[in-house]
Amino acid sequence: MATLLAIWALVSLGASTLAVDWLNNANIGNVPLGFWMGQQGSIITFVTLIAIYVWRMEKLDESYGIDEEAQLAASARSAARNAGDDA
Amino acid sequence: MSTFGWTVFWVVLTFGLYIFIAIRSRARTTGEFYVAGGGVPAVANGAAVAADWMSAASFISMAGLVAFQGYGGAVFLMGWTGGYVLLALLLAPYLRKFGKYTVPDFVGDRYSDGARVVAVVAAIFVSLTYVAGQMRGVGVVFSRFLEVGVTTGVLIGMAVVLFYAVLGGMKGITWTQVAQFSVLIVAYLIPAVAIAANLTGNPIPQLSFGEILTRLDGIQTDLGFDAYSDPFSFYERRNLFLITATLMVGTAGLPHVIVRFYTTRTVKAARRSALFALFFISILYLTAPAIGVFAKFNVIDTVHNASVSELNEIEWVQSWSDTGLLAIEDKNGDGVISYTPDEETNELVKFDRDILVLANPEVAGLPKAIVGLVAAGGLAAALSTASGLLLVISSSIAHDLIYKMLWKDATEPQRLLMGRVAMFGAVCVAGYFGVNPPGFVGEVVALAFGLAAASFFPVLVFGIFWKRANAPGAIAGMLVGLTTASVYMYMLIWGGMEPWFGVNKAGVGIISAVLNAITLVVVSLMTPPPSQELQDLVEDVRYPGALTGVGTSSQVSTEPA
Repeated sequence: MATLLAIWALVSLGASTLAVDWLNNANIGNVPLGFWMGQQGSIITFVTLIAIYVWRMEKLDESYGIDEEAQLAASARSAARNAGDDA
Repeated sequence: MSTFGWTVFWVVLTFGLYIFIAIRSRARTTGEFYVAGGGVPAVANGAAVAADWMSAASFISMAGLVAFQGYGGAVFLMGWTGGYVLLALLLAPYLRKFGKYTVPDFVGDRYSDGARVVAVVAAIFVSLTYVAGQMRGVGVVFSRFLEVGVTTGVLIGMAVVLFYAVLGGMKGITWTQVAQFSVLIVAYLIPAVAIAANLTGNPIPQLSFGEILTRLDGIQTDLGFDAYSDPFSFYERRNLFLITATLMVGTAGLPHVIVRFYTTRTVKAARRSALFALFFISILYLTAPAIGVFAKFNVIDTVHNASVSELNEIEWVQSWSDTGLLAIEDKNGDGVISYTPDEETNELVKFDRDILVLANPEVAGLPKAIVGLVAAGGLAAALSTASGLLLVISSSIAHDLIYKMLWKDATEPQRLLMGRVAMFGAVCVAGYFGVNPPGFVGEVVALAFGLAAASFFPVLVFGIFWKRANAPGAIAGMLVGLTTASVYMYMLIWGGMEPWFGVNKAGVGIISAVLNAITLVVVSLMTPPPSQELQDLVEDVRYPGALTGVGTSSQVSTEPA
């Protein structure tokens, strides 16, 4: 997660505000690179970062055997069992 | 059919759809009213967050801002999307796990009732400033396209919002927002694609705007302006940095966005809806810069060196001039309009940046049906955001203030009724501001982000990740953040103060957020740690597995599912 946040900071604050003029020396298609990063590339990066995060966290949940849907079902069952006495 | 006829057609069709959805999804319990019963699927929630987030400012104003600020517009593009990375990684899953109704709920339970009150005040202030802007957007669209007064327009908008927000609460709002997202994104993309195809032969705006950008840079330099892609023509480097950071942190601290992650069924769904939300938002945000380039090119191309008499015969020039948002004046009497950077000689006297997207299809000569559709899209954007904000205001008052602080033994039906009454009140206040907009709406939106960044974000993040953070620290932090930011903004806007170190008023929020964090840490360390109970709660929110109150993960995973 720290890596993802580092990329986030680097892309949004680094590339697109602090180093934009330097990046503008290059071009992507016919758009200056710094300009493209600010108005297109950074947004694409953000979506990708969250996608990686979601994917990693779901892997992590799986490796610990966590299944929230099953938990919800289980708690609904135990609530039904306990209904009337101590619930 | 005329533009007017098409607009009426689209508006009636979409409004009918919203009302139909409202009737289908009435709220029966407090849980449904505030968080849609916590059972919204991730894709639908993502679309709802996107509609909630993309306001009249995104739909109507943003491409215009980008067109007139050039590279400077990137602060909005990045600021309003980058915040979702913070939200998805640092806040959404944890707050969902905590499982309450509102942001002040978290602040109040994690810290203290004193902190809750500060959070309620901040949430209401931030949301009200925003709502006023949305209602104003509704008024502008109605007055231009439906030939009714701004007041009538606002009243019609209020009636529709009132209907589905009071009836359906978060449940009605969420499903309406899913529909509104579809309307607004279609209305945004169709003209962009059509214009891209017309101008360059390549219908994908993101790929084809580069060609026009090169020509636009050339034209602007010829006319004596800075090149469109020049990075520092609008903001200096330090302000680009500070404003981007403020908008991102502010985005992650806005109560009406955070609350959306309480509406999902599981933590996993909360994470996924953050992804869907940003994906849906990025469709519009990646198109906006292309629209900015196309529109500016088209406007200069149409207006510069055109004869006054010809211009005055163009339908959109006439109708926008009537609204007072567009003005041309042949100052040197040569019968031709010139667009120049010098105010003395510039003859495109006024071109309000808010009309750029709405006027864009007409400027590009697209069919009337599309012009009407864009109007309906603008209304969808304004109404969806307004309803999300109204929910925050009503829940802050009815739930956080009255139920949690003043009337703790209210019954379930009484709480639901309170929610509805507060919603009704909030719609009326918003309508008032829509009809009588405070002259400083534009300023105040920047203010709202700065204040959200300065007040909420540090308190939420420390509340989740640092067990030692305590109530005195949080209150002191929020107060320091709020006062430094608001005093600085006030002094710049109304106090006639010169900016310190050239810091723009929209960029001060991030500095106040840092001060807030420092204060929070220092005061927390100087005062006793929070109770063991609270520390356990933080531990529980942090680690994966059981939703709060459901049981531990080891117990659950051994049970057959």
